[in-house]
Amino acid sequence: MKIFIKTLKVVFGIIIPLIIVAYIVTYTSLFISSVETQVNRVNQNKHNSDSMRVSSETFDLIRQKAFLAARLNMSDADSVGMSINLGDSVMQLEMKGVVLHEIKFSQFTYSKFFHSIHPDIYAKIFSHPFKVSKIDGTIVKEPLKVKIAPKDTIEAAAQVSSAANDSAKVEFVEWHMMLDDLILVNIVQTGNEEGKNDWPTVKYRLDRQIETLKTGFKNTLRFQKSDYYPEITIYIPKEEAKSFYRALALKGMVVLKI
Amino acid sequence: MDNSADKISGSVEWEIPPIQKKKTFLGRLFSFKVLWTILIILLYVFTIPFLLFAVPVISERFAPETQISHKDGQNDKQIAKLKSDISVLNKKIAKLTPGNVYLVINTTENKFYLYENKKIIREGLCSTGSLISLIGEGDKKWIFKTPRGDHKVRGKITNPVWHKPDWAFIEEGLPVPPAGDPSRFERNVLGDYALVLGDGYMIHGTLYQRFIGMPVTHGCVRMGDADLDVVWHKMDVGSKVYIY
Repeated sequence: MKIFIKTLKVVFGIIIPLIIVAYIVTYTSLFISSVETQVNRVNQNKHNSDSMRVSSETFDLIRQKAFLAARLNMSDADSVGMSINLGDSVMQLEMKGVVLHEIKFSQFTYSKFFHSIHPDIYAKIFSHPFKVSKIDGTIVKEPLKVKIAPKDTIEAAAQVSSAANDSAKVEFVEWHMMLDDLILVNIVQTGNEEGKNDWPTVKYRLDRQIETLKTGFKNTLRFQKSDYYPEITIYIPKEEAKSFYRALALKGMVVLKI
Repeated sequence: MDNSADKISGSVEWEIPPIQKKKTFLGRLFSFKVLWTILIILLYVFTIPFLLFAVPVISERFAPETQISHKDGQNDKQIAKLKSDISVLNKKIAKLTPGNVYLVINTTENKFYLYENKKIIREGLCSTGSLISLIGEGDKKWIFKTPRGDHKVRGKITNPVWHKPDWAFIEEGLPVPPAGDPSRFERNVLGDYALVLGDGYMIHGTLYQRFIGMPVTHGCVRMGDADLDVVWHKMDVGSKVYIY
């Protein structure tokens, strides 16, 4: 028994902690190098010193031009698209170039990565709309309710009364979209935090975190660089977050101005 | 002779008791064993949060930042060119928005916005598709959804008559009458006006004004009487309707 306890102590007190520490060190170093690799990949190995030729005023104009060019490109699409202008803190839903809905937001965060993009490369990448490659959230994108046709008028009346009894669900709206497998945009509701700890929200966050850990684990074991996606997180009121999520087409387009 | 002093010194054997260090609370806390245990517990507890949240933040600190210098006068030509390009693009985008009257409908919030000369002239609540998928006999299926996209007003009707489709009977548990049967035509249920969008979809009024603002329709857009009056009179055949 004593030997057994001693073995357990060695395993859980020394061996496993050492493995964990080794894993953390490897994971962190691979992640750090993946950020640099991603910066270089995006900048196509353009040397940073090249940017010295561009004044900040010019860079602002480059950003503005790229944004307008991308919106114009997006207007060719038939579906509802979205434009996000971090400079003016404005988010819009657009269709065929017509602004359907606009909202000003006051709170947002974005990765430092975006400061690393060379102006020429910025103009190249951001003058085209990004395509949504994945979109998911705490609420259903299209809340279809299935109803079986009633056999007679009595059953029909019962269906009507049961539908009327449906109470409004408390939900916390949070969603994210991956753009061209390159940029991750998170939209989170502000204000009332009711429903934040409810199962749909917890499940959504857990799923995302488990996915990140799984991918990280696979890559670390193979000594491969981790997947790094620069992120933008925008906080808007619940109803707005819901409208944008439901309106944006599944493979819709998104225009960004950083 | 009194030799008691010798007796005492000879008989007493000094025993030095073992030094017992009384450990203080801090001493116990910082003993190697306890410290190690705390470290191990912290490692087990914080590894996952560290990997998920701290590593990305730490990594970003290593991202190189593009240095941008401000050099006056050197980019004048480039700036002028960019400004002219931006002005051209702005004009092109502005042209895409109709200058006359158009309607925007938000199906998530069940709201409408009527624009004229690119400004909102009226906004309010409406009702859109219930998103019910009705399954009938023989796997027949209807989805009551307002079609998203850009539409045009294809016709304007006063005192519209509802030509009830099959699903209207199936949904109520009634037998489906043959085409052209008088029971298929219902008057005074769609309000005073209707704007035809095509494919059977319309913007019309309703008897059930209390449901305005809720997703309860079979795909059409319902409006309150006063709003419908304004929208119907403002919009012409060919006016744009954007539904999202």
